[in-house]
Amino acid sequence: MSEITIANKDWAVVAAVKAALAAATVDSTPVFESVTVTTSPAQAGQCQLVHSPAAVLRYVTTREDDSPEDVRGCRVVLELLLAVLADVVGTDESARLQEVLRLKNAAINAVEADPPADAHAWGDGSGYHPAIRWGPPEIDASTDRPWAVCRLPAEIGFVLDGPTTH
Amino acid sequence: MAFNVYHNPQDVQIGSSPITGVQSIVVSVRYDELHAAGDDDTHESVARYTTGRTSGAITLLDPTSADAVQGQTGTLSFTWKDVKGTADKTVSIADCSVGGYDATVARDAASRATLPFLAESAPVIS
Repeated sequence: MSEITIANKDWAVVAAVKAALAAATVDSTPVFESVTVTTSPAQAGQCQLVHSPAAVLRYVTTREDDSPEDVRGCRVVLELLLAVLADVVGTDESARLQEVLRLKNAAINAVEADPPADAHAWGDGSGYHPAIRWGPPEIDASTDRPWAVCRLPAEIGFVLDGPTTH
Repeated sequence: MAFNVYHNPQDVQIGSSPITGVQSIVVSVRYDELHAAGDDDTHESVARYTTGRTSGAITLLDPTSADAVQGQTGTLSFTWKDVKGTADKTVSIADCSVGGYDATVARDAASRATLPFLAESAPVIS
């Protein structure tokens, strides 16, 4: 039997991103009325969109790459679901798109302004990933739905010093 | 972690002139071989390396910036960012001499300029 310690850094990253989103304010007003965490792609649409604007942070997976001396370059893969209730009459999506893009940019600024303490860029000669990488957002602001929604992929890099430092 | 990983050279300077838009820096350090044979020796009695010299090239995006610093002399210094965010390293190469540049300005690609440099000393990493 071995005595081990657990750093649980992937969770620390998720918790830090959640905290950054929850703490973000514009003119002293919170950007997101609710910030929740999920692991299911379907869960958010079913029961987590209550308060508007809402941010649902979906944990996708953690990737790990070997480096020299058993250092591990890791990434937590996340998907941010940003949603706003938008009551717009007509077929022009401009106002909904403007608001959902504002939320997307707010989420990025919030995390970049208060990045997870464990977030580090990493490169080992065969590859490089930045501390925070944002994927292309996928937006559905069509007016036949009550919520205008943005799915924003994100990867947060972190580094483990050895195989038993997870 | 017992090793450093760097990227993104920043704050590149020759003397007091900044070099902006730097993409990469190649630093080659050479120690010249010293061969000394005494009288009637059938083999070399001394074979070792002498002091280091540095040469290399700076690749930058901006031909105007390359033009501004060509032919200059002074200490070449730049900072590597440590990717784990612990301590960046500053590289200084004393008595450096920058040559002329090769620049490419293409219709369908970003501009690129390469500046060679030479120095009588080895780099100091601090």
